[in-house]
Amino acid sequence: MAVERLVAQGIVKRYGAATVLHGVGFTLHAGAVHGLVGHNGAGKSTLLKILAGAVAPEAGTILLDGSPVSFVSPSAAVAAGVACVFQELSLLENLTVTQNLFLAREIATAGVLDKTAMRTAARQHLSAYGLGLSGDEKVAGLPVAQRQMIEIIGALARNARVILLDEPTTALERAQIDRLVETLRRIAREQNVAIVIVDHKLDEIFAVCDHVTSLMDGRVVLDAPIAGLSRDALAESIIGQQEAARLHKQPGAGGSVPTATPSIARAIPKAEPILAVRGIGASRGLRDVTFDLASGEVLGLYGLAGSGRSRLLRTLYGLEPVDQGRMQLRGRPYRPHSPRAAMRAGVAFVSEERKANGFIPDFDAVRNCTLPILGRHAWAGVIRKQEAAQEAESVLQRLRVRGNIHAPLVRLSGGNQQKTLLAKAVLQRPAVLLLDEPTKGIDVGTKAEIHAFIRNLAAASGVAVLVVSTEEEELLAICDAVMIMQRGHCSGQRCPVDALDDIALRRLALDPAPGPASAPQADHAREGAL
Amino acid sequence: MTEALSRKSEAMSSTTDGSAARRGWRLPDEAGILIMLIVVFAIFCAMSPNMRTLSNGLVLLLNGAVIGLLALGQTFVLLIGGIDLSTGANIAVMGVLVSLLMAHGLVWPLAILVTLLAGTAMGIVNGIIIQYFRVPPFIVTFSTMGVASSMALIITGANSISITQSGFAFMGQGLLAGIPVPVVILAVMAILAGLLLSKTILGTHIYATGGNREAARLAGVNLAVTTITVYAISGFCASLGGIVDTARLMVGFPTTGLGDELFFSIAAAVIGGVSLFGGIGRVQGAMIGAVLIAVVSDGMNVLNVSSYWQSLVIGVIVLIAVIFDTYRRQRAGKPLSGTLRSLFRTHMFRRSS
Repeated sequence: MAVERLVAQGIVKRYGAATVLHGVGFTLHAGAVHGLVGHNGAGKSTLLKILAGAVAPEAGTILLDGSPVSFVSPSAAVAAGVACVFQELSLLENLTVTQNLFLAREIATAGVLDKTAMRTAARQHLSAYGLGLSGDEKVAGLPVAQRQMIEIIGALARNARVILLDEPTTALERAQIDRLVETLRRIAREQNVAIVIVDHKLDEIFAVCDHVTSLMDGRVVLDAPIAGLSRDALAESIIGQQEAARLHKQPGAGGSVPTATPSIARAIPKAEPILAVRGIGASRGLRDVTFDLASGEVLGLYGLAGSGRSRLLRTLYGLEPVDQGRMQLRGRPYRPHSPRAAMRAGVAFVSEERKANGFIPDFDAVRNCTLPILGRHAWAGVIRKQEAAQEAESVLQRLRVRGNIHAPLVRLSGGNQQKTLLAKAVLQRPAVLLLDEPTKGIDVGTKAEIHAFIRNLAAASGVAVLVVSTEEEELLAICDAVMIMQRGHCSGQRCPVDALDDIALRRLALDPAPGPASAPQADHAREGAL
Repeated sequence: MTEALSRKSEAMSSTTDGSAARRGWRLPDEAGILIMLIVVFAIFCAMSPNMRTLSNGLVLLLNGAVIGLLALGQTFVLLIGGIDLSTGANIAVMGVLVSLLMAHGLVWPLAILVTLLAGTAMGIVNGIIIQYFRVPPFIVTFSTMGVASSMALIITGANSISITQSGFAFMGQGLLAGIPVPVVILAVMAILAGLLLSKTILGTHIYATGGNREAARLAGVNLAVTTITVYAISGFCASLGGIVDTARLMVGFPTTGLGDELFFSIAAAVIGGVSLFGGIGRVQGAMIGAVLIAVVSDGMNVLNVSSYWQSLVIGVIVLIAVIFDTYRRQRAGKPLSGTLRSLFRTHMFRRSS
């Protein structure tokens, strides 16, 4: 093929004790689109961040057009010709399209802007890729699809030789995706740049890529030109069936793995559902979500990034509005408009973003725990501190929180912080407990303790637990059954964990599901493929 | 860069985890500023015998009382991460209001009550605009500052209003057990405020809101209530300040409180360790800060230093306090000594590289 634009070799990245990339290598060719695929936590995003200079690898070399480079920052990467279009768009909304395109490289004479020259140049770039914009529009008023193209054009205008795109299609509609795919192929060809695209959707990968690299647990498991590659082979590499089959010593794994329809049973909940959700939808991200949650059960929610898992939990906790459908909690209509309303109704929530919104950093563990239950331990607004602290301490002890529970919580380890958040939720004596990634970034020992605690909680006190996790093992370890979420939709079909393993879960979540067992709602997505 | 900093502090915290497993008493954060107050006071005393008299001490506190009251209200607002720029102008309007009410025949205790309610209402308006229209507090209170100071001039036609009800003078000139009434009012208010912050649900919610607004909301804190309440408290304190100022002079000036009061009150809170970023600080600190400012003002008076120097000196002290606060914020939850150490260490590194 064409020249080797970028060659990465032996890239290693560790976060604490966890190794995310074990010596990954791949080659990008000029004028080609390169797909990067893999399941949740396979290391795609980390690899992308390393190429973009946002994260520094522990080992490995990157050759750009034959010469070794090491980027100390994203701006160094951009200067060298590697531009990244992240999921969060980075255009400045308060500036015009032209101003954005020429940001930090304005055309000027003696410090005075040459606006005409910039406008002309901007218009050329914009019309070349079919954006009917004058360049004088404020970015704030433009739709996402156009902003994305402006970012890509901006990268080209900065003489980018490599463009990295992280899930560029998640926020786009069908027609926009087709257009983006077409434009990307054109850009790669005409500008002779190498484009890397991280994507979950196989049809898009087949439509846009020349070459694809599949990662699994930080290792390259497949690296091949798209021509001659079968959809099944690519899907297998993502699901990890061969790898797992070898590990589990199950020669007939392909046959025995439960594939969608046959093994999925709409398990009838043991008790009356405590939370019944019927066809709820929200303008952004959720559509027709239906399920039941019974007292004393632990129900898992699994899906790919962007499938709306967290959004569903946030909606149930009153953090996002509901546009349609209805919910019932303990037989009464339930539609919380704020976290306070949800709490009053008996719902507790442990957020995924521990640092961002999980706790008050300067409060100690006890004070963080008691924050939602102060009303129980106060008279006329005056807190009976001793009494509140005693209740909190007993739960913290049961969870075996180590470290000083009277020091600011920010100083405790992630595991102890997470246990504290769990204690805070339990202290509310909820009927329904919503857990979003309950063991994110936590060591194995603490993880096991938290798992045992959750199981115990459901069994002993009859709390209904809904868990979102990207870790298959976690869901298999603590849940009674798992539901799949795809593109904001959840049908309420439960897969009992006895009939599941991690491969089956991944297969169910992958969109569109391969083979004859594909779920009906995945079909429309396949049409535009080629 | 900030990422690198936080990662560094995280690494540090994990190493200190083991040793931090003891509870026990530790030096309060206000210790540093208290020592500074004592040192400054001692220096002034050494320089002038007039400084050492009890009567000067009382005058010093009397002059600092209004700033102390404003600083008290400001402390609540700063604790949720807000700011109230309208307190100085609030003094002017409330001073005029209480004078006018009395001029129109209202007996002075009733006039005081109405004025306090009016001041609180003004704070509530600030709070409602900030909470429900999502306008930054700086802009909202900046605007209401303009509105209030103008209102004071419009109502009076820029004339001062004399007060004839002699009983009212007690609020500014009276003595209780030999102590000036404004100082007593400040002391009582400070104790109430301290108890409110440390003992009640509302106090905890105020700290939580300032510590991490989103986390507080997820934990069920009613952000609207805490936000509006702190601005109401600030408005109440400012109107009390307006009443005291007016009672000291027995004249309602439409321009009282438009000088250094606002600056000094924010300065007092910040010097006393109340974080401009919210969530950290205590009433004790703000009061020590207010006394420090009073000592500096009074000391410079006694030493016949031109009053033009006052704001300069206090400005420098505030800058030091804010730089310190910024460092403390980056090392959230670390004890004071560690903050000082990191401050020095960072600058040593910077110089060497």
